Amino acid sequence: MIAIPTLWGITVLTYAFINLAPGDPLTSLVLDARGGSAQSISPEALEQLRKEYGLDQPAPVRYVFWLEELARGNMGRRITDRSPVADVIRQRLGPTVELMSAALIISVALGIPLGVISALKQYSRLDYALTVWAFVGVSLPEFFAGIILIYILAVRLNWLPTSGMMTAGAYFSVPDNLAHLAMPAVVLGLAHTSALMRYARSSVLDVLRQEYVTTARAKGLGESVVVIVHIFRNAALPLITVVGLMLPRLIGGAAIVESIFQWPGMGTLYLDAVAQRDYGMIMGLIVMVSAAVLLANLVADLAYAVADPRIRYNR
Amino acid sequence: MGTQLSRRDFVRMAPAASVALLAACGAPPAAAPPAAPTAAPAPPTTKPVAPTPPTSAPTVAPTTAPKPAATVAPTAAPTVAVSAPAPATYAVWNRVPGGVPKAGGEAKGTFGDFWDPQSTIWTYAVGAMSRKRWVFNTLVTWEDPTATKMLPELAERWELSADGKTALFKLRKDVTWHDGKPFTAKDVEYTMRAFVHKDTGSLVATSLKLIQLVGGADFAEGKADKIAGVKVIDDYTIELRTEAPVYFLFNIAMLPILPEHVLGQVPYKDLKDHKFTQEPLGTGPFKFSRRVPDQFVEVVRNDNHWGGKPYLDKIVSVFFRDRATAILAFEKGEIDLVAGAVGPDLQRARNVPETILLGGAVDFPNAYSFNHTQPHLKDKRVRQALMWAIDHKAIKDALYGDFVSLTSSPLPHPLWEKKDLPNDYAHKYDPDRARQLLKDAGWNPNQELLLLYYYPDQVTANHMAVVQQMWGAVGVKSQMKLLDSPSWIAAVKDKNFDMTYLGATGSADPDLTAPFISCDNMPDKPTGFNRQWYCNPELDALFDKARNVVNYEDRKKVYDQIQLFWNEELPYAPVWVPVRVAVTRKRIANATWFQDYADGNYAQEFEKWFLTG
Repeated sequence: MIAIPTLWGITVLTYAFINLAPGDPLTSLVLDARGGSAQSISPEALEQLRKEYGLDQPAPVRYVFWLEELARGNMGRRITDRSPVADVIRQRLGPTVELMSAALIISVALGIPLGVISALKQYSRLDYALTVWAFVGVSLPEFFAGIILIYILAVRLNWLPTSGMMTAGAYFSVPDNLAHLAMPAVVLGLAHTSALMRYARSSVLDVLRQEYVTTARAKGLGESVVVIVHIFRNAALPLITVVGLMLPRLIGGAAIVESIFQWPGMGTLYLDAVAQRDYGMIMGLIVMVSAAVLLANLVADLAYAVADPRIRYNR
Repeated sequence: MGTQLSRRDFVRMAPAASVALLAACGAPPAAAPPAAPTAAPAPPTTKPVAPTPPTSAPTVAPTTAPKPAATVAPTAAPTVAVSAPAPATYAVWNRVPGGVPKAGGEAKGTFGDFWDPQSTIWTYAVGAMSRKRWVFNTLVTWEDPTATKMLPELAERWELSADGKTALFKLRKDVTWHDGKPFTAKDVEYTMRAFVHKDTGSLVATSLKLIQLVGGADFAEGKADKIAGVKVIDDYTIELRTEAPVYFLFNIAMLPILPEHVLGQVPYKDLKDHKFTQEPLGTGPFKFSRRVPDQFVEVVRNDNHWGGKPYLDKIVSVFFRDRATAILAFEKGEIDLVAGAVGPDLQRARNVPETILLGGAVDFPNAYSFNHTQPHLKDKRVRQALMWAIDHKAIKDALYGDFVSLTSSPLPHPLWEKKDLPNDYAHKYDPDRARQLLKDAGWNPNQELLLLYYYPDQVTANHMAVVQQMWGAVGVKSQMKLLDSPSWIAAVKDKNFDMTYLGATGSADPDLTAPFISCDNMPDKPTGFNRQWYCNPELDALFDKARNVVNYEDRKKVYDQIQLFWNEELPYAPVWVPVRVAVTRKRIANATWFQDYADGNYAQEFEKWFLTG
């Protein structure tokens, strides 16, 4: 229940901050974010827009107005093309979830098992190799990895399309879509894999030294039972927190990768909204993403309960 | 004047209509450089382009550069026979001599900013005509940026009254909408109403000056059922009367004509949400087919096009956010045209076999601008010194190559540019002179200059670093700071800067530069395009004078005077004009790319594009 006041607090703070930033949405019409002159726009037209968007009112008044409209389920229109904010977000939601969940699946599916193996074989060659790989993964900037992948896999080898969600001018098909998804998902997934791998490794190493592991081995349990039931189950707790914190990214998107691969996600939407000081769009995104964060925390809490009998609610 | 009004005529008329000009200054007619679409993002080349100043727009420009000899129309009045200033080494057209056009195939590319039907039609993005031209037509159009003529489109001929305020359009009778319904004067009449009514909420009304049609304001406010100045005479004749003569036809050349039979019954307030904005229907050579948000827009051949059946089956405009990716997609063969490629990307694209570059120089310079309220910049010798201290040519050669073209003139359009200016700092580098001037002006070596810029690319960052070093070499300390655009505007308004590096304005009509330095347009006003806080009544008076001179030669003399005055005073200091190009392939015959302030708002004749192989 604390979630609702938290969410409200976030909106107040965000609104305050974006209003502190110099300029307002209309200046971005006059001078676009890339330094170009945005549009030929007359002073009268500017005034008209200023009124239409209520920008002639003081910020607190605008905030209250925005909140009222939000309560009625209206997020307003964005300034650039006047589409309803809710529609724009809805449009981007699918692609964002598709990309981010693919990336999350890759990172969990690779990161956790590799981390566990790395811990169990601590100081082996495999462990070192994986550690090096993890550091490379963490250090390699996404934009660089992205461009290199496009160059090699798309331009040189001609295996995959360079960018987009589908072939331009073609009709949607699942194989085509997956071919387009592959590179961005892998770039994002590998970056997160490295982090998860390290968490999993250290978490398992902690557990390995626990007495109950020694006990389990001492009572003659098979190695696989020890690893799965005694080690992994306990090591999983901190990982749940980490993965839980990653969940909001499912709808938060990833600006850089989206930008390079021309994937229409939330990240670039947010970036543009900020550059254009598009208050309505920013607020709409903040509400969405904050709600997702709060929800993800809830999911993580519930997952704890499943994983850890100690914090299960006892009747 | 009869049907085809040449641009030269406009140049001639312009002064007469000085009032209108003034009015227009504030808001350049739409023609403006719209969002520098294509070029937008880009750094070097492109970037500059942007007339930053908002408005800048040059507007109307009637004319862009005069065509080389041939076109210089014989009869035309003031002889503006300017030899074409070979703006760059690029061609505008990919003409295939003697080629036999083949039907079929498709062209994919990034045609500048993404083509968004909604914003294109109802809001302020009136500039994205090159894409609108696939689907829509206008009454009249320009031939091309280097031509002097207006061409007929939906109107086969027109007559303009002597005062330029009344235009009678005779419409083509063989035009049908994409759904087969005939096009008539009713559509034109409706288009005016739809854009003008305030419930529509379209900014086109003011930016294209439609509001200045006689009775336009009353209609907009709901005080009249019709626009008094729009009179349907018969199905194929319509008369428009306006209060704003000079820009009139140019503005009309930007206005896509809408189908009355589709939209006529829709209340104005519901227009912006009507499905038409997502699935537009026009009279143009291509029919809207599909739009996948943030991915691409597809248009298909209109077999019943009044101007003849197009050769290409379809055109796909692909959206690329990241220019580097677009170039890789070009290299791979996924797309055939990339507008606005720059710098290293462009060098890379050039090496792809069968690639050609289309484009040319634009009319608005990049400039170093000063904050004239700063006491230490008041002395013009300081401003001059700061320009002599920079080796502009070396910077061009090292960083921008042939994507900029050096000039010290604030009016670089070939019709008006004064060559051999006394302070030709753009071509000559003279640090000794800079040192001397600084010494004479008593420059305080402890004074640090804050220069703000807003181009986020690496080339500009390097450029700024070089300038900082060159100024350091003559004893001027400086700090270069990148701001995002809204912050940049706010800083200028608050006078929190010494200098800026920006895209300045420019146009075929030099009067449109006036608002960018006149005393009436300080940044604290709504029309505050004078980003330098510069006010000199003498310069304003010269612009006023030029505005009222009718004859081209006499007018040119006044503008020469202005350029000499400017060159001495340096309200802001132009250094070069950007060259904007699109990368495409030789096999796209008849491809055109005009990168001008009107953003390709010319007869690009998409119906004539075809594939040679």
